[in-house]
Amino acid sequence: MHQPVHSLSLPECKLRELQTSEFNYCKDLDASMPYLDQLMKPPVTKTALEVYNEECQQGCVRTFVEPLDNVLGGGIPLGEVTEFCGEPGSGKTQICFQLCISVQLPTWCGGLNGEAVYIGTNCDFASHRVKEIAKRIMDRYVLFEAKHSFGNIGLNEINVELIMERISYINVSDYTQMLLIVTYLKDWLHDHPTVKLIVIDSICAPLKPLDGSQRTTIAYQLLQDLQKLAKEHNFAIIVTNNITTRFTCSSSYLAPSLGDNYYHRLNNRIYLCKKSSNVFKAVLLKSLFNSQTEIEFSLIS
Amino acid sequence: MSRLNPQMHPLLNSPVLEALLAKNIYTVLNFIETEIKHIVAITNLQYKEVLGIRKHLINKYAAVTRDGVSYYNEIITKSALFSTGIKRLDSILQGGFLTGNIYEICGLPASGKTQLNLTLVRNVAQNSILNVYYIDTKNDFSGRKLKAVLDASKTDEEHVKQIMSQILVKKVDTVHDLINTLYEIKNLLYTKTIKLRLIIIDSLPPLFYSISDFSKRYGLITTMVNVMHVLAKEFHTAIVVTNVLTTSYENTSTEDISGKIGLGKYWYNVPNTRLTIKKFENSSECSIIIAKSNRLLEGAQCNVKITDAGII
Repeated sequence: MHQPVHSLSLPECKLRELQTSEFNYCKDLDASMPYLDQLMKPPVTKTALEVYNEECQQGCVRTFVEPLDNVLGGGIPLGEVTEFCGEPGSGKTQICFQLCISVQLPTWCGGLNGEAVYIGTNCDFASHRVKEIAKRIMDRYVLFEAKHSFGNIGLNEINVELIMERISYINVSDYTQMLLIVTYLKDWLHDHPTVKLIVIDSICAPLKPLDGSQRTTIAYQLLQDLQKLAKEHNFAIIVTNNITTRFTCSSSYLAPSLGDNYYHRLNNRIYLCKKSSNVFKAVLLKSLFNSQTEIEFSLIS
Repeated sequence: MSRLNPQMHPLLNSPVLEALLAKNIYTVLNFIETEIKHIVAITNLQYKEVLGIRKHLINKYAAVTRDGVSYYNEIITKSALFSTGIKRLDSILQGGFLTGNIYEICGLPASGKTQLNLTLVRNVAQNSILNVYYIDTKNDFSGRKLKAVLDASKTDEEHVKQIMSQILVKKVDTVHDLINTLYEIKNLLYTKTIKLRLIIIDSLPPLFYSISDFSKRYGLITTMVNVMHVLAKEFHTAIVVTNVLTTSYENTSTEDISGKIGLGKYWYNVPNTRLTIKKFENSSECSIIIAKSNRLLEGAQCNVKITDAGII
């Protein structure tokens, strides 16, 4: 049994051209056909041991909310899609801001020394809030450095201005822009190899106007392209999502938007809600490391 | 159908082939469908010679006829029934996975499908010295989790390394990657470079839902299914794929939220056995039900528990 030509990732017109001249199997294609090796090349095989060693080396994005890091098996894993969902005011955006900053901390204190990309869809990137949080984190960092840096005080490796510089903000207003931005990032990331985190806040706004199957397709395309990049450049993907009402025949209940097909595509889902002014509750709804777990925590105000 | 080439028959040299190509006779099928007289006129070969080539091509390229007895004997000697390592699951599967079959595990999002796959791949690698393939489509395979599961089940360090080296992981992004991977595995099995009984694909929807053109989507599903069948039947492997269930309230007359199986009607009939996994609310237990099977008892059910040491 031979591999058929139409299984190759070729544009429709090229496939038709090959088919009309009766090239049906890949083995019949001339080796001189451009990129044939590339087209037929399967991804590399790794043993589970190799995968494990790589994962241990690359680390993960720590939230610095200890109980949350613990239930996630160390932090938000690189290469995976993690969703924070919750009602407005449940701390989704705030935790995203915090992560954009904490990912930049030096590795010796648990950061990844990386840059962050923040893709906003509601035009609500509150730079003054980011700056405030950055200041708070820097205050803590200075204290921490004094205690733990074994005499290397005053390294000046990080400051508020630098933090603000290393967050790239992109605003998108619809799903075509969102898909295009991923194509754009492909080249952009080559000049910014230290990006460790990409945030989409929120993913549901641009997808909302689409109907059922198209919405699934676009969401899958977007996450597929992003994850492909994430594998190459080693960054974590964080998206936020709203809560909506779902109806059964007799009752209704609250659930994160975009439905089950979209939910399947995610690697991790964390539900957030606000308990009191600065106390939040997080429920780990989907994760390989822990079954449904509830934790309470406070964010840096 | 294969294209004509000089290696097929000594008389099919390049001038003859060029003459045939000029008359739009490209493939073996084109050659056989064309009248002999016509080919004689095109190629200046003798009638007898063309007849010879024709016979040779038919013998070589027609589907092979096999008699029932030898086919049966081959199946009996080469098939294997191997344990999943989960006792209760083995009992509803009547022993475990049988090679030659495609199994599907479906369930709502976050119902434990990947957990189950990780446990299966661990158990099967632990119980034999053969390789196991884990094809991962959304970066769900976690080496750290697998290691944690192995550590929790008190496997000694050397054995952990051994098991983790038997598991071959493929992280694919597109359906083309998947098809290339399956053909690669087929070639490795053909040349006897590796030995394996189990291929796990976790999961299918991410590869197909990102293709917006429906006819293209189904064309690629068909191609994938063809090579899966070859791997399962001719190379005697069991294939386990995961698929998503979605809740739909279209039939609003009942409260039943049995769910809709992803990937559409064609795929629905491909797996030989479909297992539905369902997580009980606020508990670490799952139920696994045989939703469809050509061999096993439909509706058979077992309860399993998700623990730190995998599913038991």
